Amino acid sequence: MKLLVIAGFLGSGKTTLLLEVARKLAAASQKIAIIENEIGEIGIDGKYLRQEGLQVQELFGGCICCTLSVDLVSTLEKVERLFQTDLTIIEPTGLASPGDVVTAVRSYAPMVTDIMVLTLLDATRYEMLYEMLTPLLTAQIQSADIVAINKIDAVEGANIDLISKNVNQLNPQARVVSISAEKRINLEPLVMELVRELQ
Amino acid sequence: MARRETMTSEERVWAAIRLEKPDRVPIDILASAAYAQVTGMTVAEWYANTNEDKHWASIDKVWDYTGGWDLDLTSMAQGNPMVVKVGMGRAMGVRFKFPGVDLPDNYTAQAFEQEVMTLKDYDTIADIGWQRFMDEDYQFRILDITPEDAAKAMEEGAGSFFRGLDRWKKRGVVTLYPVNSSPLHPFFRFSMARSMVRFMEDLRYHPALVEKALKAATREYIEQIIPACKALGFKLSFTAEERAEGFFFPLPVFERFWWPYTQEIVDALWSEGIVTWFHLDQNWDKNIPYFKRLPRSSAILALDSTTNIFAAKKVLRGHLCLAGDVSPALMSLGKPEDVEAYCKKLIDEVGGDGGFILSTGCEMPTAVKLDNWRAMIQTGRNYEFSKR
Repeated sequence: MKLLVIAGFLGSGKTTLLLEVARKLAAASQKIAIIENEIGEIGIDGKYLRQEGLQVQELFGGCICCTLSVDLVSTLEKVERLFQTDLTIIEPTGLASPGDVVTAVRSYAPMVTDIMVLTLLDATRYEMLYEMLTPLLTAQIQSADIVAINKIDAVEGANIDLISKNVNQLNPQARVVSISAEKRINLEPLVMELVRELQ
Repeated sequence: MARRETMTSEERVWAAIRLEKPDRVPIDILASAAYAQVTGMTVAEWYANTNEDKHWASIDKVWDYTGGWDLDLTSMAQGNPMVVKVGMGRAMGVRFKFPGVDLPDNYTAQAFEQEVMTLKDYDTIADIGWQRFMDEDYQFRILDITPEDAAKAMEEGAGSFFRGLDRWKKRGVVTLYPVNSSPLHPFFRFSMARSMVRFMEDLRYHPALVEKALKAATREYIEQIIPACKALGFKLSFTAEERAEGFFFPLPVFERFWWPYTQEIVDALWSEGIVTWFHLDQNWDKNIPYFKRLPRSSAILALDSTTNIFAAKKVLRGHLCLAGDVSPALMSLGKPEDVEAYCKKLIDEVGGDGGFILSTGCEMPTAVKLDNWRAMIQTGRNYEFSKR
């Protein structure tokens, strides 16, 4: 099983992107499961997605749950047992470091063969979030394979350049893309890249 | 007392807190619903249970099988689900979701973090304190209860609390139960009640408002704990924090909004001979050096396995006692030999010269394997004697 972790702070657009990727991969005959980690917010509509052939598992436990890694591994085992999926997409809580998710999976979930981490950044709130939550944002950026700067339709181009430069300094290995998931700017190429990588 | 042991649990725990080398490492367990599955109940059944003796039977079964520990945190029986609901809601300041009701049967109960406290509530708290705010208003926003329900639950909860204390005392175990209705540091309490995002925005856009409430809540926290500890004969006070650390916030935020209130709490309690037990979840690596500013032996830092306890020991050796950090993942996903190996490493490297309590990292998970629990206890009880 491959694993795609879509990380990012609360409100960064994770669910929108997740659904786009999941639908494209499902359309390409991939067996997809989604693990949604709720944290007091209304999650994605599991019933609706099941009608589209996507399996959805809720991962209860989030913002203050020290047993989250235990629950994550148990949920992955359940997904493997019930659905034998090609790819599982996990949307961790916005307060999680994807590095911790990767560590838990590598330590205790041998059924996962490959892990890719995509971190979304909210361009409209980046400066404030980076000032107030520097360590969390840094950790989310540093554990990413791809960083997507989202909501670029709502900010000046110069700001996007600054964010991009900051991301490059924090994680020179990551590929950085600028998108607007809602307005579908640069979304298709990113989704197609993920589909290619994860098939 | 086993033949090789030369100290009681009380002597052993306090030797570690005083940074002395006890006869063997003291062992601490923080567990609540973790007793369910290992004794044949679902977690949902644990929370729905109405028979206090049934809970005690589970706790006793685990105690007997594992060999028992020196310090206990929250191993209490409740005979009324409402007591648990009210107690947890008031303690954490958030709504909870419970297995069997809102969650699958064997899930851990979950804090459901939402923006319930409003911006203007900071003024109210500054004026009347957190306790009155909770009693007169806030608890009815997070709990679907009447004032009569709340009063009855608290009365029944107090009864269970004192019966539990008595049981552990007869067993010779040191207890570390919170003595006030919210064991959370005021910073953590506000973060939970406002929700993380709103609270972070408050710190940025309304810092004076937050500080005014933090000052009042800190003063009140101290004023509640000291007389309660004196009345109960407790010398340990429990404070939890998992939002202020360098995993989330940069040091300037920590220095302004957390550290001064923390120092005030520790200094006030220490002046009365009370030691603060900090339950510190998440990664505190960047914050550990600050604790060196506290008076020697005035606090214990209980780490959850996310902070590097070995590095923390290097910084705080000979200054503060550490507790931890057998992780929930290891206890539920690992094997007994893995647990044993990690406990030995902790005992050798963190406890080698004293000042260490072998403890669950955060809380014993509901999916714990009973043989892992036993491996932790047995390693703590026997490893050092086996080397002599």
